[in-house]
Amino acid sequence: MTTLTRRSALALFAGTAAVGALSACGTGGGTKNADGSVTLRVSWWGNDVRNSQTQQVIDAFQQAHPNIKIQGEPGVWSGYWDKLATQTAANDAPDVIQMDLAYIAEYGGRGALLDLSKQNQLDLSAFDQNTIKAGQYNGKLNGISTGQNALAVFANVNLFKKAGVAIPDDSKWTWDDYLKTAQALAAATGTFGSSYGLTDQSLNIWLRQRGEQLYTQDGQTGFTVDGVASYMAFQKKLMDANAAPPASVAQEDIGAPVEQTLAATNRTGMSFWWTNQLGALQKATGSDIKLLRVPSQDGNPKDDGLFYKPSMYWSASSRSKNAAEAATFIDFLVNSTDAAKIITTERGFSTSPKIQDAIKPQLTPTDKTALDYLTAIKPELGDAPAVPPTGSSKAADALGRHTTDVLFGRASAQDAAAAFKSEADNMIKSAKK
Amino acid sequence: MSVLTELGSLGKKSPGGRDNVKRTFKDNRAAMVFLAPWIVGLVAITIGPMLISLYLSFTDYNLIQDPNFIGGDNFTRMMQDDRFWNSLRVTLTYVIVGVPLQLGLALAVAMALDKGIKGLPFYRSVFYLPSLLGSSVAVAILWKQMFGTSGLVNQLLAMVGITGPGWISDPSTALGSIILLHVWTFGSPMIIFLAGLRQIPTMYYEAAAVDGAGRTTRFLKITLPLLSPIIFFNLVLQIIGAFQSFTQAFIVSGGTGGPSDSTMFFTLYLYQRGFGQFDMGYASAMAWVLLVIVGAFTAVNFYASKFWVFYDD
Repeated sequence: MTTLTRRSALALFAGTAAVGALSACGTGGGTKNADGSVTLRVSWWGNDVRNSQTQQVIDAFQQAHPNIKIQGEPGVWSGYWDKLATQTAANDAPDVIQMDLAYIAEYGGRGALLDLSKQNQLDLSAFDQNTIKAGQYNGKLNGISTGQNALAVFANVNLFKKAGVAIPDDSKWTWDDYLKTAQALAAATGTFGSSYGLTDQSLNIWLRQRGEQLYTQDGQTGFTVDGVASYMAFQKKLMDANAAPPASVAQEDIGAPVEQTLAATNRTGMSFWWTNQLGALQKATGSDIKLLRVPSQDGNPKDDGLFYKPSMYWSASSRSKNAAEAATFIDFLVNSTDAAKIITTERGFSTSPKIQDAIKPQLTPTDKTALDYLTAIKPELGDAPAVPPTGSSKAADALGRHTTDVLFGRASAQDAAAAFKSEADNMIKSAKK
Repeated sequence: MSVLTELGSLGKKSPGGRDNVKRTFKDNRAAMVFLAPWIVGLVAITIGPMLISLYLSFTDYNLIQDPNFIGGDNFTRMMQDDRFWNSLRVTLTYVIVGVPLQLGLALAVAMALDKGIKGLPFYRSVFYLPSLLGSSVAVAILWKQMFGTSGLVNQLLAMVGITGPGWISDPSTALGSIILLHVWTFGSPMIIFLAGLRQIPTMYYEAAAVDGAGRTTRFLKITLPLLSPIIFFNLVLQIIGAFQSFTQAFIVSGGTGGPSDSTMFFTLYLYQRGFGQFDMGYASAMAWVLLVIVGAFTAVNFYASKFWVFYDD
C-alpha cells in the first residue's frame, strides 16, 4: 500500500518534470529529404475558413516550388500557445509560425524567432515603416504583419431597430452616451444592452484617451493606477446602471467561443471587436452590423485613442534548419498576389499597395464595411502602440481577473488597479534575465 | 569484544561469498529481465524527469533559453506570491471539504448496497459509472453546461420559482460546484468499501443483536472498527488524488482558474506559470513544494492511523 500511494504521488511530478526531459530530445525543424527537397512545418490558429484557404495557398506555393514541401499544422487559439510553448521547449518548433502581438516579444525577446530583416528571400520593400515597426523588438524583425485591423464598437442594427433606439453618431459620442444608449437598448429589448470590452487592448485605448498607455516603447508598463482604476470603475458603472450584464454572466462571456458570446447570440446590442471579426459576427447574429468608433471622454474622435493593430504576423523559428526556405514561403504569403487572391482580408487588410490593388475586385460588402471604417479613422489615429514587452502575454488574463473582482464587488477599483499594475510589473521584471 | 568475534566468525562462515553473490544474481536474472521494462520506465519517465525538475526549480528556466542557476529565488518569490497562497488555500479547501464528503457518501451508498438488495451488480455499476467519467474532459464540459447561468440546474430551480446564481461563474459558488463534481465520483472508494463490508463476519452482528445492541451501536462498535483499515486506505488515496486534481478545474474554468481565482488549484497555477508565463523554474519549484505537502499529509495520516485503525490480526 505504501509503495502504491507513493508511486501515484510521484506520477504528477513526472508529468510536470517531463518538460525538462523534452528539452533534452527533439530534432529541431525539418531537414533535407532523400530526394533533395525540403519539408517545412507551418503552424497557425484559426477556423475552418482560414484552414482551407491556407491549405490552398500551400498548394499554390508547392506548385511554384516543387523542392519545398509544406506540412500544415492548423490549430485553434485556445490550445495554440500551450502547444507552441511545449514545442519550442522541446526544440521542435514549426519552421513558420503564425504569431500574435501579445506573444511576439515573448518569443522574439528570448531569441526563439528568426530576424526576418536578414533574410534575402523575403522582400520587404512593399511595406511602410509602421508595418515594419510593428514586428520589431530589441532591434530584430521578429515577424511581418499579415495585415491590419482596428477596434470598433459593433452595433447590432436589428436590435437597435427593435428597441426604437437611434444608432448614435460616432463622430461625437462620449462614454456617457455609450452608457445611456446601452441602458435604453436593455430597457426596450430585455437584453443586456452592451458587452464589456475587458481585453488588454480595450484598456489600452481607454488609457490612450487619458494620455497614458499600456506599455512604453522601452518595455515597461506606461499607465498609472488611477488610469486603470477609472477604467474598472466605468465597467462597474455600466453594470450598476443595467447597461451591461451582471458579473457572473460577464464571466461566462469572457471564456465563450465567438459564436456563443452575448453579442453573437443577439443578447447585447453593442460590443467591442476587431474589424476582421465582422464577417463572423454578421453570420452569427443574422443582423447587419454598423461599425462605430470607440467613444471618447470628450466626444472628439481625434482623442478616441484608436490605432491600427497588426492582426497577426508570420514569423519563423530561429532554430529552423531551413531558414531560407521558410523566408521564401513567408515572402509568398505576404507578397504574392496569387496568395492574396485566396486569402483576401481573412488575416486583416494588407498594407502592401500591390496586394491592396490585387484584391480590390474581390472585396465583399462585409470587407468594404470594414475597409470604410479603417479609412475613416485613418486621419484621427495617434502613434502606433508599443509591442507588448517580453513576459506580458498573460497580463490580459490578469486584467480580466481583477476587473471581474471589481464587478463582483470583491475589490475596489483602486485596489484592483493597484494589484493589476504590480502583477504586470512583476511579469515583465521576472522575464528579464 | 563480542562484536569483534561475531564479525570474525562472519568472515569465516562465508569463504565463498563472491560465489554466493554470483549465484544470487543468476537466480534473479529472469526476474530482472521481466522487471526491466518497469525499471527503465521508472528511471526514464519518473525519476529522471523528477531530478531534472529538481534542478530546474533552482533555475530561471523559461522553456526557450538555457537555464541559469539562481539558488532559492523561486522559493523566495513563492513566499511573497499572493496567488501562490491563494492556490494553496483553494486546494486545501477542496481536499478538506471534498474528501470527507466523498468518503462519507461512498460509505453510505456501500452500506445501502450491502443490504443484499436485488440486482446489486446493476446498482453497483450505476453508482460506479461517475467515477469512470468524472475525471474526464467530457463530464467537466457537461458540468459547465449544467451549472451555467442558464444551465439545467437553474432551469430546474426556475420551475420552483428560484433564480439560481451562475454556479460556476460566481466566485462564491464556483469551488463548491467543482467539489460537488468530485463528491459525485464516489464510485471507486464505494467499491472498496463494499468489498470491505463483505469481509465482516455476520456472526458479530448477530451476537450483538442478541445482546441488544441497536443499529447505531452495531455501526459504531462493529462496522467502523473492522472497516477502519479500508477507510484509512481510501483516505490516503483520495487525499493524494485530490491534491493532484487538475482536469475538472481546468475545463470548468476554461483554463483560467476563475472567476477571480476561486478555482485556481495548485496544479492549475503551476501549469499556468510553467506553460503560460514561461516560468518553468518557478513551476518546477511549485511541484516540489506540492510533493513535500502531499508527503507531509501522508506521513501525518500514517502516524495518526496508529490511534484509530484497527487491524484484526
